[in-house]
Amino acid sequence: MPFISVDFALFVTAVLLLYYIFPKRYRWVVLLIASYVFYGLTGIENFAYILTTTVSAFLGAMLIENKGTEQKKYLEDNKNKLTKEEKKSYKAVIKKKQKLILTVCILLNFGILLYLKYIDWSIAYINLFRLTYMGRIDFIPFKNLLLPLGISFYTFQTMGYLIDIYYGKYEREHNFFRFALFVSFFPQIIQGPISRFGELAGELYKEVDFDFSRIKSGFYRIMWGLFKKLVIADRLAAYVRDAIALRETYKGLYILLAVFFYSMQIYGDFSGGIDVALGVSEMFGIKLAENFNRPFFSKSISEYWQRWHITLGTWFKDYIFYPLSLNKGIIKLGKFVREKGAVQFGKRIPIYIPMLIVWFTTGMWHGSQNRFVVWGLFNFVFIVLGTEFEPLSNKITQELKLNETGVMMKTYRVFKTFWLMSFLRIFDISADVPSAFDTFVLIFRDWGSFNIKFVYENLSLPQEDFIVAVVAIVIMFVFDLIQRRGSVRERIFKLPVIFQWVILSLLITAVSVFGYYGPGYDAASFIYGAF
Amino acid sequence: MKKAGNKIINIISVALKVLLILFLVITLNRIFMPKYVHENLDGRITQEYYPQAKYSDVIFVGSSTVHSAVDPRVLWEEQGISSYVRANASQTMWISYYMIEDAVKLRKPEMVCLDVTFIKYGDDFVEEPSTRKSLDGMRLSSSKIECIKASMGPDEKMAEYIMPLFRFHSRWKELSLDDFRYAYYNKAVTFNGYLPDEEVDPVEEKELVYTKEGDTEISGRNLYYLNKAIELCRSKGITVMLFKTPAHSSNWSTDYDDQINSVAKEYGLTYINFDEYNDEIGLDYTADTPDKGSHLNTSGAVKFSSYLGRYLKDNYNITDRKTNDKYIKNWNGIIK
Repeated sequence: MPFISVDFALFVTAVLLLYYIFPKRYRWVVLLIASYVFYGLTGIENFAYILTTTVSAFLGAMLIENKGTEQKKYLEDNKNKLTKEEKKSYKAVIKKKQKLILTVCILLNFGILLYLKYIDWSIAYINLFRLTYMGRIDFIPFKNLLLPLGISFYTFQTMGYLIDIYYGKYEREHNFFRFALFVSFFPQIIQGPISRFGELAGELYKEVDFDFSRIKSGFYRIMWGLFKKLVIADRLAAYVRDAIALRETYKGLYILLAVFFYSMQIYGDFSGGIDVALGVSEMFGIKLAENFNRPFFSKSISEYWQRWHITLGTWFKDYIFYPLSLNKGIIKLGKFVREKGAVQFGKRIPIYIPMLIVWFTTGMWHGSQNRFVVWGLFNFVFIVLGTEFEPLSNKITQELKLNETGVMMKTYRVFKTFWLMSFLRIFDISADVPSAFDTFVLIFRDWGSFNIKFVYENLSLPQEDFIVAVVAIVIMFVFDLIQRRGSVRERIFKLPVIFQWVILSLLITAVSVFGYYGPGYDAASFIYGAF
Repeated sequence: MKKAGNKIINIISVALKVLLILFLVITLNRIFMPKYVHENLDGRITQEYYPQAKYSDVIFVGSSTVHSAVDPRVLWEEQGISSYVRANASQTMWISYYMIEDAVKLRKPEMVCLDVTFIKYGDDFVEEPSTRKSLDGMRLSSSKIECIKASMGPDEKMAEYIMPLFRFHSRWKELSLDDFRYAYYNKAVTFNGYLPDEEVDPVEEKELVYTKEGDTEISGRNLYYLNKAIELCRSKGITVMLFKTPAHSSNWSTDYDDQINSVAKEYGLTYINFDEYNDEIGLDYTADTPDKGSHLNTSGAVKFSSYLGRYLKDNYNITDRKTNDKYIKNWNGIIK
């Protein structure tokens, strides 16, 4: 069932009715059943994957906790019998066992994810190796496996939970079915956000009263998400596709426009989908983590990544970056380099090596093609350059007596960050790394040949659609500007009822009328004539 | 007491909000649906039936040949028969069945005359514009939903029929003042389903010879819905007549007549292929057709309707409404 479809809307309506009809303490059961029905509709065979993750994480957490309890009991029973060293070594043994359980669970779950996502990528390289070095042309066939719905999201979320349990961050969920809901909660399973157990569990299992204002607020958010997705993102998709495919013919500004539109498209698509997920959850009285915070207003790439796909960024930070920064081997390496005289370089090792790994992994997460890895590494390079040249940049600002906090400077930084990130996204819309570079180079050619007529007529964005897209992008921009001062919806709800209705009516009309969906209308085919 | 009062106010307020949204959505649907007021009038046949349902003693069901050949005004004026034509372009047998089911739910007619011309097309016949014109005007009911299921093509979606806005929203680029003017337009543009055509485009070959060859067996789905329609009418005590509207089209085979005759025989019904009565009717396909014999024009329709009215009067017991004031008033309105 696609997330943005009438079927999904009907499904949510039915689940909402059941949810509020059921007694409060059983409402989470309705959500669990709904989540599994939703998941089952995507293909019954997918249950095997999500159940493996759910059962293994539940058992893993249970075993880790049991080891902790065992340790506690043993130490208490032998409080006076054991020496400090004996206690320490006992604790080390237990920790080792807990680590083993954690490792097995992580290997199993990420193993499944890696296998499904990268098996064909690996096969391609094995085939290339065999051909190049062994001259073998009996290629290993691709597996062509389909990724089960949301596997990246629920695997990351569940493994985050297990790591937190390992570090004793919070107590594990003892009820298997409640835990199953945490893993499978349907509004967030397709594209996140990646929730933390500490935040989501309280929301999922709390007993909420029916409140129409929540339904209303959720509805507004869903409609806003649909506006971004259907009116902006889906409308621009064809232009971006065609302009990149025909880049040899339509160079320069056509490509620059495609790069700009792709930024709007991906933001509208992803943040719009997240708005729908959060709006649906809100209707159930469940608050999910925000995943976007007006990212196009970021003044640096580091800031951008704190405002774009926030929950993935914090996941990588908490579960990869920090543990690696504190890794004994990396710390030792830094110390070694410092002792060898490269003090500044040595100091940066515990930061940059984990960061490099994070960006490599982030690239891999986005897709099983080299271009995503290169994209990730470029992000790393830009962040490092930004950090390293910050003192120089500050110095230039001071020398030129520029106002660091002034509007001009802020605008310049926002502009620079936006375009840097937009150019990096060329990897996203290109077939491979060489064509991404090729596209980038072509941006700077033939600006004089730009004719808006070709955009309308040859590149799948007719004039009327172009105007709608531009107006919608301006509305999105203004919305984000207003949001700087707090929730836009809360502001709307403070307006007189008549204005609220006007806004809601306009939103419904904009989405249903200007949304880019359906088969299109060909008046000629409706002319009476075919008997 | 105050608490209960607040609760009621809350419920009323929520209900009002839901109604307002509903009104907005319905209005958007009506604005964006193609208007069949100045052209493509066949798109209005289904919806214009409802105000006429209580006066429709006889319902003619079938495809475009019927709505261009049966003029209910002639039947009324000459025989006092009050009828409606529920026949759209390319109306398949399954749509015809649901047209009857939908009509019967509203008011039981005395007689259903079911045209079989379209039975020559196969089970997989799908033509979205025609299905749309037949169904967009149908009121929402289980019959409509079942009819959509039976009629839509593999790429079509149920939601687009329930909410035509989903299908027609991209018309925003071509909306005209008419789309707003006729959004809630209720005046009839057809004559109880009849669509007059003044054009004359004579046939080239005067003699009618059926030339359809190859597979001339009525397909399973056509046969199924034909039987279903007859059984529905029988279960409700409605008289049924099967007929083929006259046309000068070679795309027919007497094999169809034989098969329909055997169905009619099984149920004790009459089946008439009016092509065989061209001389009695007085049809002249050099003057009575707008499209080389595929349909009848106004002069043909008058001749056929007159003949049909006499036939029905002579062979079936249909109430003469010429003495009923309500009917007279209604028909005066239609004819005016």
